[in-house]
Amino acid sequence: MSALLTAFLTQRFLTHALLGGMLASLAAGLLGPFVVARRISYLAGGIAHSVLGGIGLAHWLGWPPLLGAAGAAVLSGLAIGTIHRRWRAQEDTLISALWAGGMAAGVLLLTATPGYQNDLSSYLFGNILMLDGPALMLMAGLDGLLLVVMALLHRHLRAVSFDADFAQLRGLPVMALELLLMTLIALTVVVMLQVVGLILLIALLTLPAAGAERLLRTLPAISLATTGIAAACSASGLALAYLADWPAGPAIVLTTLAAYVLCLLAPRRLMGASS
Amino acid sequence: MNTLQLDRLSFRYDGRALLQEVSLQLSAGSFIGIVGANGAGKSTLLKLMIGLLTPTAGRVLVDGEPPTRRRGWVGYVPQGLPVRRDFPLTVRQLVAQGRLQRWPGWPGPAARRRRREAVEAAIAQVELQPQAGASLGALSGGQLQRALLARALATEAPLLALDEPTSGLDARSQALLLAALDARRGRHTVLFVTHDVQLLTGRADRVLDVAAGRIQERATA
Repeated sequence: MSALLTAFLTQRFLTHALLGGMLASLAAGLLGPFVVARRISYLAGGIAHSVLGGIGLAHWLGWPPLLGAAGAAVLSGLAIGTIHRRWRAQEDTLISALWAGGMAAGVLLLTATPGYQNDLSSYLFGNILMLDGPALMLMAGLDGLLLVVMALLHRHLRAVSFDADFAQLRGLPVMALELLLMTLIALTVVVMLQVVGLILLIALLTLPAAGAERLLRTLPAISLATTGIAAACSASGLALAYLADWPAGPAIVLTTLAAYVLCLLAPRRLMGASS
Repeated sequence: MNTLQLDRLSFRYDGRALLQEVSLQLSAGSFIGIVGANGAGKSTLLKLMIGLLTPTAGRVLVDGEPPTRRRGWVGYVPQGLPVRRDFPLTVRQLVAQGRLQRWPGWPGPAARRRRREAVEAAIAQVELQPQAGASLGALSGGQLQRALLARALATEAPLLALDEPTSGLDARSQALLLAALDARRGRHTVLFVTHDVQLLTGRADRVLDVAAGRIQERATA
């Protein structure tokens, strides 16, 4: 145990990985409860997978990949938010098209890029052990932005999520808030990308929040618990990966899954029906 | 709000004319019952009146302007719960949505106290104080409807638009909800959609019967 602690404190790549896990957990805690409460994990999955198109384009143009990821995530979030509000009947098909189209374009552009070798799997499954200082700074900056926006607007986002008609009658800018929520989810995707990869990040975004939602009754409490669960799972997943020599992303996702199963076994809404 | 006017209002949905050239004028402070068979267009009429739906033809005017230009003038109770029942929200948080402003701000202590008092008063009016901290999933159907009414009351809006608020409630829950409404009589204009005409007896100033795309005024008892 002490050897493990020493490794995390002294080996820079492990310290960075641990910090990255914590930053991804904060993003999961801020946005995961909204994704779960609104049952829009399919929309979040669509945003996550279409990000590969932006990464591929950035590689092809010689730009920083995370810039491409952020641009594609925000554009995809806005597109999916508009589809969700305006074309609800065709939502399923349109999001599937974005999902598959983004991935296909990403793979094609990555393979067409001269010198490209093995980045694809690190985007798909994460590469938390390769996190460097600038990547951590970017994640921290995005977390800061998410924190500020949620501190200011969480009541508005909750009201629109619960009853858009009532929110509209109160004079809230419903469409703008819906698109903002999708944009925040898109930024969360970018924060999580290097930690667990775009295929697995939906697990980190939804499972801790879904587990916390079973035990608690308000979004702020669920948000705090989600951050705690995700942070514990990130740390224990990393430790497991280090000890068993497993890839870190899948190890984190499996510990997250185990935590979710534990929450399912616990009595529902421990802090439920009190006055 | 002084007057709400429908001017040759028509609405089509899926190629079917739900309302055709409806014209009428409602004055402030009145209790308007809206009745009709299932699918006749009662909820559609209500949503058109408050600006949640856009007419296919004709117009709605509130004091001479379209309802979509006005903010915070309606306390709305939707037909049933808008999302799933276990959405993580307490009764108090739900009712506080009735006091939400368009943009976030940092209200001073006095404004915060006024908001808190309005929320607690609305909860008290529907007799839900013991459940104020409970999650929505822990409420009975009647309690949930009263919580939605409390959210509408907390707005202190001049118009209350209630879409089948007593649907599926037992007699006691129904009586509690109507008592809360009666206690505010005259302070709001009330649009009350129901398929139970008996509820309007002695309560409604006018009863509008929606049938075959037209509106007929019924006699009130």
